[in-house]
Parts: sequence; C-alpha cells; structure tokens
Amino acid sequence: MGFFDGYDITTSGMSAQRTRINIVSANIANAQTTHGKDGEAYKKQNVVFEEILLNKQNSNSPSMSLDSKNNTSSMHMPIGVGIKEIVESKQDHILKFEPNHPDANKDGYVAYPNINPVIEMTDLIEAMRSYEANLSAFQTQKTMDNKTIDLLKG
Amino acid sequence: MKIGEIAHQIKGLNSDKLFNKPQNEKVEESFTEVLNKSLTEVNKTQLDAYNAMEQIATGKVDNLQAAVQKIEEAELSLKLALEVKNKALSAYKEVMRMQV
Repeated sequence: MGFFDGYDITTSGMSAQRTRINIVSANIANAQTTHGKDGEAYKKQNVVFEEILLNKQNSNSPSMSLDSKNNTSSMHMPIGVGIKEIVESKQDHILKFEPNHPDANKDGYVAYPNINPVIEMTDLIEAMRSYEANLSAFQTQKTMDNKTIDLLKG
Repeated sequence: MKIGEIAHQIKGLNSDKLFNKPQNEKVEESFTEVLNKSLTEVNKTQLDAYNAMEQIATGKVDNLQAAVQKIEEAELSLKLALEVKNKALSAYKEVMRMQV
C-alpha cells in the first residue's frame, strides 16, 4: 500500500456517489416525462456499483516503501468502487386517462414513468450520506498523516 | 524479531563487508541524489496541484473530488519533504556541534 492509496479509495467512493446523485436527480427531474428518447415515457434509472483495483503502481506518488521486496504481492492492492453500469428499471408505466394529451395512445391513456418522488428523495439522502462518509474517511486519513508528519518535528 | 537480524542489516557492524567489499554490490546513492530525486517528485505533485487549482478556478473541473485529492496530496508531500529536510539538517548541525 502506498502513501496515498487511501485517498484514491475514498475519492473513488465520492465519485461513485456523485454519479448516483446525478442519476437520482435525473429520475426526479423526469418524474413526469411522457416522451422519452425512444418515444416512450421515461424509465427510472438505477446505478450498479462494482469494485475496482486501483493499481497505479508508483506512477506519481512517492510511495515511501522502505522494503521493496515485500511490495510486489498483489494482496495489498487497494480496492475502490466504480460504476459497473446504469440500468433502466423494468417496471411498467403508470397509465392515466388523458385523451387530449399529445402522447396519449389510441384508447386515450398516457403512460407516465413509474417514479415515486419519496423513494427518490430517500435515495438522494442516502447517496449524500455515503458521500459524506467517504469525505470523513478522507479527513481522518489526512489528520492521521498530518499527525504522523508532526512526529518528525522537534 | 531477532536482534541478530538487525545487526546483519547494519553494514557497519558486519565486519565481512567492511573489510572486503563485494564487487557486485550496487553503488549506494549519495544523499544529494536522493534529495534531488525526491524533490523532483514533490515538485511533480505540486505542478499537478496547480493544474487542479487552475481547473477549479476556471470552472473546467469535471471531477472535483479528484482535484481536491491532488491538492491535498501535494500539501502532504511538501510537508513531509520539509520535515525530512529539517531532520537531516538538524542531524548535520548536531554533528558539527560535536566537540573534538
């Protein structure tokens, strides 16, 4: 593990949660969208996370390794989080009877996205809390490193 | 930990290496070279951080957390380099103050 690997991990978490917030925001914004990109109503999107190996070995960070012979094993590879894919929900649309709507079908029903704003809001809060948790981890590591460097003083 | 292993690693205590130096042993880097190399690395992190700061200031940043990470890394690198330098200098001064 290098000196700065912890920061890479927390930053990957922050990036992932930021993407999730963007997706949830898109869901909230399009909660009433009846005309999507393929002519159908908008479908709710979900983010799928995956773990990624952050193996940028001694590319930029001065990795203060005192014993280089123990550093070759891949066991200590830092594992961050990344976005695997963004999937569309398979839930059916909600049909409302609005015959005068331009997107109404031949029976006069309009397909609305199956999005519950309350669920989206709780998702948003959860993503924000996760982001803050990663931020706290970053801050903790920074405090630790600062205190360790202070050890050299005096 | 065995004390014998430590003694083995300290070259001064190992009389074999002290008297007949093996030819294949790689040349030790001088302190100047080490300092130069690490300063170059620290400078690189500083340049990265300046880049990130510029991106934040001009609004071109597409990954805020990565930019902040670069800046923090640069700060810590510089701090560590500074403390190591201070330590080396104080050791030198300590030697110079020695009574002969």
